[in-house]
Amino acid sequence: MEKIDNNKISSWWLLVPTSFLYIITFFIPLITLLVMSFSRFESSVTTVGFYLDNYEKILTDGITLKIFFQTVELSLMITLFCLLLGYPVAMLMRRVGPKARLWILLLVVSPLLTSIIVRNVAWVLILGRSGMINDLLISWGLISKPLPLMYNTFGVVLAVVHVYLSFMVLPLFAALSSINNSLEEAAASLGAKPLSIFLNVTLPLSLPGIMAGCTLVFILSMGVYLTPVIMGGNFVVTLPMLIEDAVRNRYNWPEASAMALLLLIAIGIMIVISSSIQKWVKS
Amino acid sequence: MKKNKNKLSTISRREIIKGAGAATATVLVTPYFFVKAHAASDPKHMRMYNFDGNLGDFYTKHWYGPFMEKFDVKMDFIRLKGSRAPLEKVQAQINAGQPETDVLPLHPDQVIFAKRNDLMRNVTRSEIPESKNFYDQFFTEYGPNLVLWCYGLAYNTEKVKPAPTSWKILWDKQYAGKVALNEGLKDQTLQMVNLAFKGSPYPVDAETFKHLSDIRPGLVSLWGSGADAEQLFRNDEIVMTPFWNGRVTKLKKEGLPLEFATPDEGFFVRSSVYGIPKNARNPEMALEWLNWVMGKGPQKKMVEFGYGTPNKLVEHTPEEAKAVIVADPEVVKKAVKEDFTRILDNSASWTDMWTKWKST
Repeated sequence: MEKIDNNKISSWWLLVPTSFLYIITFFIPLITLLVMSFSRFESSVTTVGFYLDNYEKILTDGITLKIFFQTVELSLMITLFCLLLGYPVAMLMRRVGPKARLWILLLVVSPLLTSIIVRNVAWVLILGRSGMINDLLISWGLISKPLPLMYNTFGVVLAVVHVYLSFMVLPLFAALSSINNSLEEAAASLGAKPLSIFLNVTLPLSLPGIMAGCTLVFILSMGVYLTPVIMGGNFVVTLPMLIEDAVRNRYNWPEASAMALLLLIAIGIMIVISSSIQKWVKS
Repeated sequence: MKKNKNKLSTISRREIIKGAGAATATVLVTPYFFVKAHAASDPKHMRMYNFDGNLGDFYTKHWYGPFMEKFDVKMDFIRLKGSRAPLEKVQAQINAGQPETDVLPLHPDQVIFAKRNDLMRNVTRSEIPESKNFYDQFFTEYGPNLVLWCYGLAYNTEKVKPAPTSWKILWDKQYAGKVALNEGLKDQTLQMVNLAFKGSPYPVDAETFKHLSDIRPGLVSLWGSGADAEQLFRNDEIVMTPFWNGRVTKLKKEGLPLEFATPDEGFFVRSSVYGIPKNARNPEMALEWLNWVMGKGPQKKMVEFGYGTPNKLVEHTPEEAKAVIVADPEVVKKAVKEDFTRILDNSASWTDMWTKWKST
């Protein structure tokens, strides 16, 4: 018994370097963020203390909460589109041979291999007033004046989905690959139609992948900054944009910290919901 | 098997403890040595901010390169996005004991913030002999004002006729869907709206935003940086936007049919104070650089690039005078004075109003 305890202690020592690293790079900044969020910013000077000004402002200024919910809404929209587009791709990857699967995988992750600026500028060339799509539609006589394809929510969602699709496809593919083909074959041999097999066998068994993909995409979307700035023409406002403005243009670290904590809490809630659903699915 | 396992775990435990101790010590001690090494000051080594895009290329070619060669100095550069130094970061660095740059360019509102938080070293005229050739109003307690830039109206000469003389042309229905405003320095936009409709840049109030709401359906974008606006012109997304003169000069050199107008209601002239942050590693070389860059030669290069200079000795060709704007006393009469204390103190409420406006 004593030996087992010693073994346990020795294995705990393995965690010491990582723990120190986490303390220095994660917990201390997090505590600083918390302390800063209760500080006061007045006449360009920050006073550390216990003030509720920043939280009061967030709750009562009539705009920060609104932008926060807009960010949640945008993130949910991006997550939904990623799921709708990603599921068929993951299904296809499961069905095709290894060579074709590799090509699809490369296609899906390719946006991650490109610089964010290059990617967004490419979208500008495609979706702009004189972009590829508008030029084609006008030359075919389908429209008389350019469609507003960017500098709005559509442009932002399209550009973000393009990148985050891979974060949906990979967990979905992992979940779908782990489903035993014989279950679907058994359902088919008992007379179930393809739609029924999908709804009653494939979809429920792939729920862990759906939840993992949705959680990942939602969390990433809540923090997305540069793409809305470029593709939304600053008309699509997200909470990270307010945080950036508070820090860069107003030097108001306390307010920015409070908003960052709000974002963290929202992400924490999403993770709790996601793991609860996964537990419920397993049970 | 069990015996072997125990033996293995005993040996491993010692090794693990030693290894963990060493690793922990490394994790704890490395930042100390890093900071010490970082703090070591080499008199022939400077750390400077540089800008992105054309202005950054200009600095490298005309303000940093020749100085390094002449004074046999090594410079490391930190590239900035846009023209605004990250004062929020530098403030934290100064408080921690060492800023990452030896020279800090400050926008006018940043100067007030720096003063309130005691971030800059005082610089006197006697420390910079070249300051004798500068107009008095362009030398501050923290250093010289360099790079005089104007905020006026950039327009496409082929698509906007006749040449605009008023900011109100942005509200003209015939240009709806072809104009943009800047969010990067939103205070300038708000002051511009007030100039157009109230004749004075202040106060920023509900009426200001009512006029912004009127223009809102016709706006293509609220661009964030000068580079974004350049792209809007290049892609033919817009025909007109409030802009800075140097960017227009650059686009004209690229062959775009653009011109810069100074509306009759007034326009703005700004410049940056180049100073030395407190606890800078090499203030002596920073002073040397400031003195050199204020000289006639480097200042003439800036004029050729498209921005104005406070150096009295620099002469302008007619084209240069037209491009830099501030060389023409008649045009300068239209320049409107800005209240940067008000801008800084109201930035929170203006931002709230701005965010509310654009998200409705």
